[in-house]
Amino acid sequence: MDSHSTKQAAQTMLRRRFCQAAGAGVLGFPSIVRAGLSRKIPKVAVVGADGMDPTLLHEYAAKGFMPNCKKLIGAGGFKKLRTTMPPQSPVAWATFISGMDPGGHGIYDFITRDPATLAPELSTASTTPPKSSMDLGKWTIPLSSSKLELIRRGPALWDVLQDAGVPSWALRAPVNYPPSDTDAKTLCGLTAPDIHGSYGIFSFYTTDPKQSTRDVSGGHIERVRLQRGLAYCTLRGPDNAFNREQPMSEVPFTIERDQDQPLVRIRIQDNDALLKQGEWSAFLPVKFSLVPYLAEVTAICRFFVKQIRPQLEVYCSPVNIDPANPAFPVSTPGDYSKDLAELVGRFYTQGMAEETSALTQGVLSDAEFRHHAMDVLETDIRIFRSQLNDFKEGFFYSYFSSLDMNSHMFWRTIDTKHPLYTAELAKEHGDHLPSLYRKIDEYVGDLVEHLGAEGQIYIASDHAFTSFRRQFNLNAWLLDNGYAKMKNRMDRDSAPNFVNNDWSGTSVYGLGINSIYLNVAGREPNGIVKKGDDYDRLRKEVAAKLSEVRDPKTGERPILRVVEPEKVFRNTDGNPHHKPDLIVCYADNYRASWDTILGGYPTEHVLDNLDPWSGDHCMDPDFLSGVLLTNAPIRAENPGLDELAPTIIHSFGVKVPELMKGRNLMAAK
Amino acid sequence: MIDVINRISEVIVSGINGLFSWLPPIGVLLVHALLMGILALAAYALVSNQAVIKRTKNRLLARVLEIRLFQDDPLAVTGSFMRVLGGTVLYMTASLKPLIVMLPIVVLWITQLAGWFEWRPLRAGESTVVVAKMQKGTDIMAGSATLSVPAGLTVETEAMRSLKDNEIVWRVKADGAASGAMMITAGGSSAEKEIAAVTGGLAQVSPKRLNTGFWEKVYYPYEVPLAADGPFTEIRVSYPVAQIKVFGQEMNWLIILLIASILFGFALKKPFKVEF
Repeated sequence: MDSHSTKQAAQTMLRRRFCQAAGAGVLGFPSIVRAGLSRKIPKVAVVGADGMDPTLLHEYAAKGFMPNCKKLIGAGGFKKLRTTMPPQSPVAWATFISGMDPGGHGIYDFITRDPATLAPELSTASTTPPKSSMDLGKWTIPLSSSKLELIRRGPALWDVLQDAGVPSWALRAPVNYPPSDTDAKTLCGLTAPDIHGSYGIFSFYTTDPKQSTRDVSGGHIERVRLQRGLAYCTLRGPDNAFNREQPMSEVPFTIERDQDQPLVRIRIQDNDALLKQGEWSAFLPVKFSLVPYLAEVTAICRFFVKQIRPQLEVYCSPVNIDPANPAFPVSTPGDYSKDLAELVGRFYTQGMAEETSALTQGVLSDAEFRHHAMDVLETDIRIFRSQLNDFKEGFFYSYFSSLDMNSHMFWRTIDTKHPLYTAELAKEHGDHLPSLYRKIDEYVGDLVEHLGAEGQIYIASDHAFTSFRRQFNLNAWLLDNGYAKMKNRMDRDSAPNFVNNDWSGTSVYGLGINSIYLNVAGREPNGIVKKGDDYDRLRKEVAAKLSEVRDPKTGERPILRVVEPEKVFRNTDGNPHHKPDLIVCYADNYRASWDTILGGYPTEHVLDNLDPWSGDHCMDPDFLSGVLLTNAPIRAENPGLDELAPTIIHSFGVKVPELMKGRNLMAAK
Repeated sequence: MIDVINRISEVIVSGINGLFSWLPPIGVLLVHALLMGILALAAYALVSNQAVIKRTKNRLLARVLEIRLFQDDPLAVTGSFMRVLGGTVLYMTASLKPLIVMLPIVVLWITQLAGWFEWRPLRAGESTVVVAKMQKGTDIMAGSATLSVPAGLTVETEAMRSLKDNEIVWRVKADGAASGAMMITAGGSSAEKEIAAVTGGLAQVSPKRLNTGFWEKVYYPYEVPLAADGPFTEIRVSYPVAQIKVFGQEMNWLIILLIASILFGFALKKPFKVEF
C-alpha cells in the first residue's frame, strides 16, 4: 500500500459525491437520491457475529448466559443459516454483503495467487504500483497514481440501500477494504490490513539471551540489550515506495527499565508511556518518514509489558492505520473514522484485531490474549453503541470478529478430544467463550431495546465452528501421488511457497485453505495441463482419489468430497482468474495443514494440530451452517447467507439488484 | 520583568475567554482574531506614516498599469518593473514600524492562546505522564520521590527514575474534573505544578513549568517559574493536542487565527480609515 492509492480512492469518492450533490441540487429534486421512498423508512439492524455457533448458542442460552438471544429463540426466530462453499469468513461475508455466491463476488479463499507468477496474495484487495516513475538518485518519484482496489465484486447491501435513500451504517464491515464508494457510514472490518498491508505483524522486544532477532510467522522478534536500564529499539513501518530499494521505514524508540521499581518507560517520538508489568499502553500515534519533510505515513501502535525482570519483554501490536489520521482509507466518509476515534478513542483498524499470531508464537499467554481479546470486543461495542443515537431509521450493521477469532484459539478448552486439551486448561479458560457470547448478548439486548417494537433485528453468523484436531498436508499428498514434482526432494521440509517446485512436472497444486489449482497450459506460466479432456479427467481423478484418503491414526476420511466450483455456484464472472479448479471439503475435525496454505511440502500427510489455533470451520459447509436469529418469523425453509441481502433490501421496499438471486426469506416458503 | 508581563497577558487573555465562554472554542478564537485585526489597524494608524503608505501604494498601482499599458516597449516595462521593486521595498519599510510594535504583543498573545488551543486538559479516564527533570548533578536515585495530586486525579505508579535524562516520572489518571496544583517532592526539595482535567468546554493548561531561560518563559508563560537554585529544571505534563474543526475539517488553531485576523483587518480598514 502507499499514499498514492489513498489519494486516488479519495478523489474518486469526492468526484462521485460532488456529482450526486450537484445533480440533486441543480435539478431541485432531493427525491432523486431517495429513489421514490416516500413512506416511513423502517429500522433494520443486523449483528454480524462471525463464527457464532448454533450449538453453543443454544447451550449458552439454555444455561442463562444469553437471555436476550434466548427470548428471540423462544419466539421462534431461529433457523440454521446455510453457509458458503467454502465456509471461510471472507467468502461467506462477501456473500452476505453482495447477495451473490463466490462465483459472483469473486472471493474464493483467504489466499489466492497471481496466475502469472503463482505468488500467493490476499484475495480481497490489490495494489497496483504507479505505471511510470522517475528515478532521482536513491529516490523514485511516481509520475502516476497507484491503485488500491477492492477485489470483491457487486455492490454492497448498504450501498444499494444508501443509494435508494435509506440511511445506512456498516460498522466493521467485512471484506470491504478499501471501502466501496458510498454515502453510507462505513468502517472497514475483516480483511482491512495493518500498515504493512498484511493481516497483522507484531513486534516483540526481549533481552532474553535465548532469543535471537528474527522474523516469525505473523511477527518479528528483536533481541535488545539494556545499557544502564535503557534499550534502543526500532519499530518497523511500511516499505518506503519512494526509495528505489524500497527499504522498510523505521521509527527508533527507547524502552527504559527502572532500577528498582517494576516500571518501564517507553518513549517513541512525542509519546511518553509509563507502564507496569502486565499493562497495555494506549494507542500511540507514530509517523514513518518516507521522504524527509515531504512524505510520511501516520499510524498507531500499542505496547504491552509482558515481563520486566529477570528479562525485559515488551510486545508491540501490529502497526495499524491511525483512525484519527488515516494514511489509507478505512471509512466512508473519509473522516468518519476520525469522528469515531474522537468519541471512543483510537482503536484497531486492522480487520482481525485479535493478535492470534502472538498467542501461537507463545509471545502472549492464554491469559494475556484473553485480556486483549476482551478489550477488542469491548472497544467494538463502544464504537457501535456510540452510533446508535444517530440510528433513527434505516439500516445498521455491526460486525463482531470476536467469537470467530477466540473460537479459533480457545476451542481446545471445550473439545476434550483435541490434542491440546487438558483439564487444567479447561478449568482456567473454559469460561472464555461463554463470556464473549454473553457480551454479545448484552449488545443484542441494547439493540433490541433501541429498535423498539417496530424495528427488525437479525443476528447472523457466517458459519458454525468445530474442532481442528488433525491437519492434512494436501501438497505433500499431491507430491507423493505424482501430481507435483520438486527440483530437490531432499529440501521438501524447508521450502514453502513452491520455491523448490519443478513446474514442468507439477500438474496440481494446493494454495489457500480449500483451493486446488491445476497447472494449466496458457494460464499458469509453466502450465502443463491442457484445457479440455486432460483438464476434466485430471480434476475428476484427483477429486476421487482425495475423497478416498484415510487417516492412518483414526481410520477416518480427512476429506469428505472435492467439488468443481462451476457445479455449485449460481453466479458467474466474479474474478475468474482467481477461481480455483477444485474446492476441498474437509471432514469434521480435519482441515488443511498450515504448510498447505502457502505451498509447503512436509513429509507427513496427516498429523495432529498442535497449534493453539484449535477450532476451525474451513471444512464441508454441509455441517457448518451458521445462525439466523430474528425477532420476526422466518417463513423460508433452509435459508442461506446469500438470501439475507435481498430479504433486507425487500424490507425497505427497494428494488433488489438482479445479481442477487436469493429469496425473500420473510415471504418465501 | 517577563514574569510580570506574562501575568498581565494571562489576566487579559483569561478575561476575554471568560467573557466569551458561552461561545464554542472556534468562536472564542475568532474573537481573538477580531481583536488582533483591530490591534493591527491601531498599530498602523498610530505609528505608521499613513501618507507615505497611501502614496507608495498608489505609485505601485501606477507602475503596474504602466507595465500593462506599455507592454510593447521593453525599455519602459523594465523601468516600471524596477520602480515596482523599489516601491515594494519602500512599502515594506513603511510597514516595518507598526509590525515591530505589534510583534512582541502578538507573540505574547499567541503563546497565551496556545495554553487554551494547542493542548487540551485530560478527560475522565485518560492517563498521562508527569515528568520532573532534575538539575545536572542531582542524584535522582537518592531519597524518596513523591507526587501528590488534587482530588479527581490518581497517581497510578510509583516514581520511575530515568537515568538517561535525569528525570523522575509518574503516571497520573483523571477520574473526573480536576484542577489545581500537584506537589512534587524529590532531591530534598518540593515544587508545585498546575494540572487540569475537565469534562468539557474551553480550559487553559500549562504543559511545562520551567526555571530558566528567557525564551522558555516566553513560550511557556502559564506559571510562575521554578526556583532557579532548586533541584528542578522543568516539570511537565503531557497533555493531548487540542483539535479545532472548521466546517467539519480539522485545522490548526494558529492558521485559523492568522487568516481570520488578516481578514478582519481588511474588513475593518475602511471604517477605521487605515491604509496598509
